[in-house]
Amino acid sequence: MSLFKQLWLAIILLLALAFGSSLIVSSLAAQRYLQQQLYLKNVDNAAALALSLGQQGVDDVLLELTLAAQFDTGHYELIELVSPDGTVLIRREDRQPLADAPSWLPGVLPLEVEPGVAQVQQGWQQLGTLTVRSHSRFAYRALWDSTRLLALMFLMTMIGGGLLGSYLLRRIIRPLNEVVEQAEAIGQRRFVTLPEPGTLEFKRLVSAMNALSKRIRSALQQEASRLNQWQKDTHTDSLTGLLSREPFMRTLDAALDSDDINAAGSFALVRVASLTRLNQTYGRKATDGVLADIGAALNTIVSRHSRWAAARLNGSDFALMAPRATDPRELVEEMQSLMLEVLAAHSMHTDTALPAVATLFTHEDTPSTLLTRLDSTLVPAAQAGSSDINITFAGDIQMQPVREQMAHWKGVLQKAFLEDRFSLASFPVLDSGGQLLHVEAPVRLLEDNQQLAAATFLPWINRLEMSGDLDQRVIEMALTAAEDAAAPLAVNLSVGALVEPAFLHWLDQALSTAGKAAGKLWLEVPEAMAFRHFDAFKLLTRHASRYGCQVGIEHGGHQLADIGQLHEIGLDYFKVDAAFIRDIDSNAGNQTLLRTLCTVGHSIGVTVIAEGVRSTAEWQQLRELGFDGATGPAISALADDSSAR
Amino acid sequence: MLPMSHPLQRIPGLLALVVVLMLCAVILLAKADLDRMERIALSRHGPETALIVGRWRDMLKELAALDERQKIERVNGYFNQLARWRQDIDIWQQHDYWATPLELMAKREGDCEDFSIAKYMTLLLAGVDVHKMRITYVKARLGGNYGNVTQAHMVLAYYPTPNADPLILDNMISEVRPASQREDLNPVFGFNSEGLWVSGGSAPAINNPAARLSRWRDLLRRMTADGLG
Repeated sequence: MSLFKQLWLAIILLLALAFGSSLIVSSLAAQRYLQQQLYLKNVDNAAALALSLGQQGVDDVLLELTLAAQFDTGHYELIELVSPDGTVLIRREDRQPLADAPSWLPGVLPLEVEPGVAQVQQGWQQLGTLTVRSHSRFAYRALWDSTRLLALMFLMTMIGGGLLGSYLLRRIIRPLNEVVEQAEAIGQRRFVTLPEPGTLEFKRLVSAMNALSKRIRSALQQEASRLNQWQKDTHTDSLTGLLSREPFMRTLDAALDSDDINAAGSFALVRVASLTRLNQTYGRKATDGVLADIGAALNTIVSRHSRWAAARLNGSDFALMAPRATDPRELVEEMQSLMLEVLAAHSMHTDTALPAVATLFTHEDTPSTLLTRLDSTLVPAAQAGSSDINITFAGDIQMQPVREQMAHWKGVLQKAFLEDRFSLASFPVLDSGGQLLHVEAPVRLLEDNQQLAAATFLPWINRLEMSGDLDQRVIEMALTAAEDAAAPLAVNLSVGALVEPAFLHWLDQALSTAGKAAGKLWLEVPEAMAFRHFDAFKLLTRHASRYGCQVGIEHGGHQLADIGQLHEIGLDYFKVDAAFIRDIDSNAGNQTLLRTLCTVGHSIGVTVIAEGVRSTAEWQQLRELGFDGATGPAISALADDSSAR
Repeated sequence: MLPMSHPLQRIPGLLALVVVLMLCAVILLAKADLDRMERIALSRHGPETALIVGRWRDMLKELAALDERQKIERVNGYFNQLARWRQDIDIWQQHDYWATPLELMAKREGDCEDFSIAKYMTLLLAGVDVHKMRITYVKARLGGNYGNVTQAHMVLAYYPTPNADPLILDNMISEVRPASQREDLNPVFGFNSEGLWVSGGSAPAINNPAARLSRWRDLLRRMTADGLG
């Protein structure tokens, strides 16, 4: 029973008790008082009447007239004169029924009043005994009126008390609601903190839970920064602060392999042509200073864009991978001029050439074809000793002007929305026991009888600001598919889902009408986007979790320092980017990193899943590290095997 | 029948017993308790008064054997001899104080109403019917039948039958005379305790606080307290 109902019941019970007892007391008091007053009136009137009768020298007619007059003008029930020998001389009695109060009242509260008796005598002669009884009708009315007034007061007091009580209770338990929400949040592993309420008991509870949340948060933040430092140490070139060759190549590989907007972009390579000579001329220390500054300059570009990466590939080659960048020339020019500035700052710009080359990459490339393509263009330029910029393309692809491409894709996508040409692919995600955890469902576009991967058209969706529409379409398709799917369906959301204000409202409607299917929908957001729009992501999580929808982060692991923020959003799962998974069975550094990541994730109730698993050896290793699930080519093969069997 | 009765089950029975005992006590106390009156006389007024009360009780016993006429003569004479007439203001330092018979016996002086009341109560105790007696306000002419000075006075009238000529018990003259021979007295209003007394009972029917407002009822209450129910 709710507190409010209990309060109302308590108020009704208490007031009924108070009312009942006060009614009884007041009624009894009134009854007694009225009886006394009526009796006194009877006695006094009897005496006065007897006295006046004795003074008049009356005959029988006068006697009767006097008593009749008294009876008719007064409030009497009975006036009776009985002679000394017992005969009734005169009797006047009012037999009117009780009209001013309910007829049951005399039964409940009888007014038993003795009549007033007096002796009437004339001279020494006795005339008789006079009996006078006043009417009790008025007394009953007074009694009835006071009872009704009391009942009315009771009713009003009850309603007033109830309303006041409800208001006060609402005020009192408002902090309780917040405390309950906090407790629920902690139950869902969202470690939120609350401002401490004024009520002492709640204050202690909230401060205890806040302390718990804070402890979890600080532990998580410590772990996150430790992970971040670790990652930096193992993955970066200590001189330049750029990625080392190996991690960079894995990142490139993972990007090319991924099925999203990061699978296409621009790639630039700039060589410091005469590094050996610089070393000889200025000394190693000075040259190292230049290289460190170049690294810092390139890192500033990288830090402005998510998933961009820069590396020092070998002694003198600097590479910049820029997913989603559509103009390679612009990219390489920016990179070259930055490096030139650094050289100029050290007054070395005249001593070396900076031959540069750039290309576009798509997810049809592999790291080796890409680098071969670049190398074959760079080598002649380097030999020429010039700082020329060359743009190379795979095969006969020529770069079309962006505006034309935009127009082309706009047409294609608008038609796709209109004709419903989108569909969902399906890749299994298995848990560590080999059971189907959920199905990844990236979006596909049917164009020219060809299924286009998300990586191909997603950049244009983003540029054309159709991502919100696509997200809605994808969720609709997923909800329909989830209705009779055995396993949950995970779909990728784009930036539109986070930044468009109307999206959450739409999501609420879609999920609330979806019924059971909502519980089988998993939504995932790329790590970079989730952290950049963190508040929006938090809101999305809260809305989606109301309908049993799970929310996760995909392509994670690049921003380990930010993982510390995850304690209060109630994240359901975290997919680690393929860049960290690649060759995990032979990469001891990454093993330590991922083991810790799994431990941290589990401590806040997050399921950790590996992306892009390519071999059973990798999968075996990942399970040992504590991963809860995995996806990728090797996993798809496993799932096919088990379903074929 | 229950084989064993739990102590708690006996409580209603005990309660009933207590209630019955209390009721009996109330009824006994309400009866005229002359022993108590004598005790009060002793403790409140001293042995002399107790002696008087004792004598008064002896007289009451003797009255039982007499007829009503003799009872009246005897009681009238007893009080007229016992006490001296004096005004209330001199005895009690207040106007019109109605003394109880015990107070009259203690002071051995009293106003006309004190005599009337004492006689009335004594006769009532001696078994004279309440209907036959009236304490009567009279206008008395002083100095015999032909005097001109009148005074408010109170006497006790005894009616052998309702329509008879009453006998007047007056503290001013020692003998009891019929009203027809008392032309110096002009009756104004007579009363007795009829109607105040529950039929058969001897305690005032209404023992409510408002009764004190009436001098007569207040006196009845005080008499009851003295043991003279």
